[in-house]
Amino acid sequence: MHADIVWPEIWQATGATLYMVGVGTLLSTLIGLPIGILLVLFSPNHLLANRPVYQALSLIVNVLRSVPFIILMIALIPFTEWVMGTSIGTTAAIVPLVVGAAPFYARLAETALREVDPGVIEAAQAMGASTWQIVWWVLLPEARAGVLSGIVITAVALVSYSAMAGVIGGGGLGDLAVRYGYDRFQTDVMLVTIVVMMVLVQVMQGIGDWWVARLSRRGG
Amino acid sequence: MSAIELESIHKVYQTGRQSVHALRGVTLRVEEGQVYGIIGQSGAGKSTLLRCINLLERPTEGTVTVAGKRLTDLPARALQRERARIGMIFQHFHLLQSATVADNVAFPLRLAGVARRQARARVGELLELVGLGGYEHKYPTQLSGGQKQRVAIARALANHPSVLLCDEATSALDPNTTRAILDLLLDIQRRLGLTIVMVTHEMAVVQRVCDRVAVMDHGQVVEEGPLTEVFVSPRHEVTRSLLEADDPEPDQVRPRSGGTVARIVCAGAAAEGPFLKEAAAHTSTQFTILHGKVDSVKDQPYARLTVEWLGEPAHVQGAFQWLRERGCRVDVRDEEGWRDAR
Repeated sequence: MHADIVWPEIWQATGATLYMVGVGTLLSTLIGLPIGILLVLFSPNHLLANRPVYQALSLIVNVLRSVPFIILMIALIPFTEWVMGTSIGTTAAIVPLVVGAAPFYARLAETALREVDPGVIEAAQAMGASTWQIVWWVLLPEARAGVLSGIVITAVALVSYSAMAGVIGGGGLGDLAVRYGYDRFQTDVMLVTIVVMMVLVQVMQGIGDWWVARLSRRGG
Repeated sequence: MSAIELESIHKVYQTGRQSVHALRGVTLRVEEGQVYGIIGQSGAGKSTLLRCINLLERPTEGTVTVAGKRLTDLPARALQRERARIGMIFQHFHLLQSATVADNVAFPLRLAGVARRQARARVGELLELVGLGGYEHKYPTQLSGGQKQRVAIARALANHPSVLLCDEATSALDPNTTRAILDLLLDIQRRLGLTIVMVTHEMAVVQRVCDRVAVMDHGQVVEEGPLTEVFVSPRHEVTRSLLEADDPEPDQVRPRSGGTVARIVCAGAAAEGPFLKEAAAHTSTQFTILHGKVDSVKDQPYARLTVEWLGEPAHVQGAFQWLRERGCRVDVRDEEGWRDAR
């Protein structure tokens, strides 16, 4: 049975998954965090309170979040092609991953930022802080534990999203599990990929929890 | 030039179809170097008024002038610059939880673009001033309420403000800590020549530190004046009820020997010396103290006593007259309550 396990392919697939999750998390954070900040600032009774803008932004985020990832991936093929020049392959798969995960992270960041004590924001205003200074020096530092744990949740969600990337030739552990476990009835290969993914998620969550705890201990 | 001038301030909140008139035409002047109290029951509009001074709350109508600058006319950037010169402290301190004590105090300096080295020196100086030297690296969660308010005071003073606004700054503190914080504020005010505006619902706070006081009710200033004047002869019902909070109800005070029950209030020179005894001696009458306190308002002596006066009715009236001439307020109790028996 051991002879059947294709270790080189497993390591290669793990690499592809790590690549998709890593770059996907980075880009989702870079795009989702500003959206999350804007969602908070434009929301009623906040610094830039603006109902139409808030509702428009909120609608876009909701629409993107309501499409199941597997469908989003296929629907985005033309867009992916326009951005990357191709719609096939691991790198191309990052486009739908980010489009799916950025709005998800935006909501997590919004929730974390909304937790910041309005009194502290008001105190900063009273000291003459501009909106930008409040975002940078009050909202983000005060919400840093929540912002960080949102990144971990997004990364874990991306492990699961990236398992579907095989559909557009993205490779990775999920693709491997489907090809061997489902198409060829090689249950052992599937089990190995499941274990690798579990370890991956555990490690990410562990590091995240440790970091969040460290920030929280210091009062954040 | 007054330090702060509020001119016919109105504030109306629109909530759905309802509109709430929180401030109804308030006009106030606070002179430089004064400690000014704004007192009233909760919901009277006093915090809203305070927040109008630095435009955290923008008045629907009226003008705000601080240190000669008409804030209500300023564009956003210029307003931010002026706000940096107005310190503010709050009931719940509002410190950055994620920052050390030193970083909290340095925050307004950072906003103003002060160099790090310079900021550090100023932070040390400020923490020394509020009695928290050596606390630089602690986090707010490691501090007591009084210590947090000290950090907030240091932060509010970082940019050398000319005005300090205090929004119920001692309401979350126990009586001992309240006294310590008030003494600190008074000390700082004297040393730096600050103008302080203080909102509170506690008469004791006003009594300890304020030079002048405005009493608010239903979005209006119903009484305003020097502290001793307001304490001795309050004109408005709300002021009286705030002052009488710890006085016995008229029907709870019973004359023990059939005399006249009177309340005698005085402050300043009138409250010095054995004045009750003198009044009695001058009119061949006697008195018993039923209830009361001898205290101080700011640094003036202050007495508020409920007495039973005994003797010939005409002589008793003579004693009250003697006290009035001295500057005391005398209210006599009859079946309907206290009244000025003149």
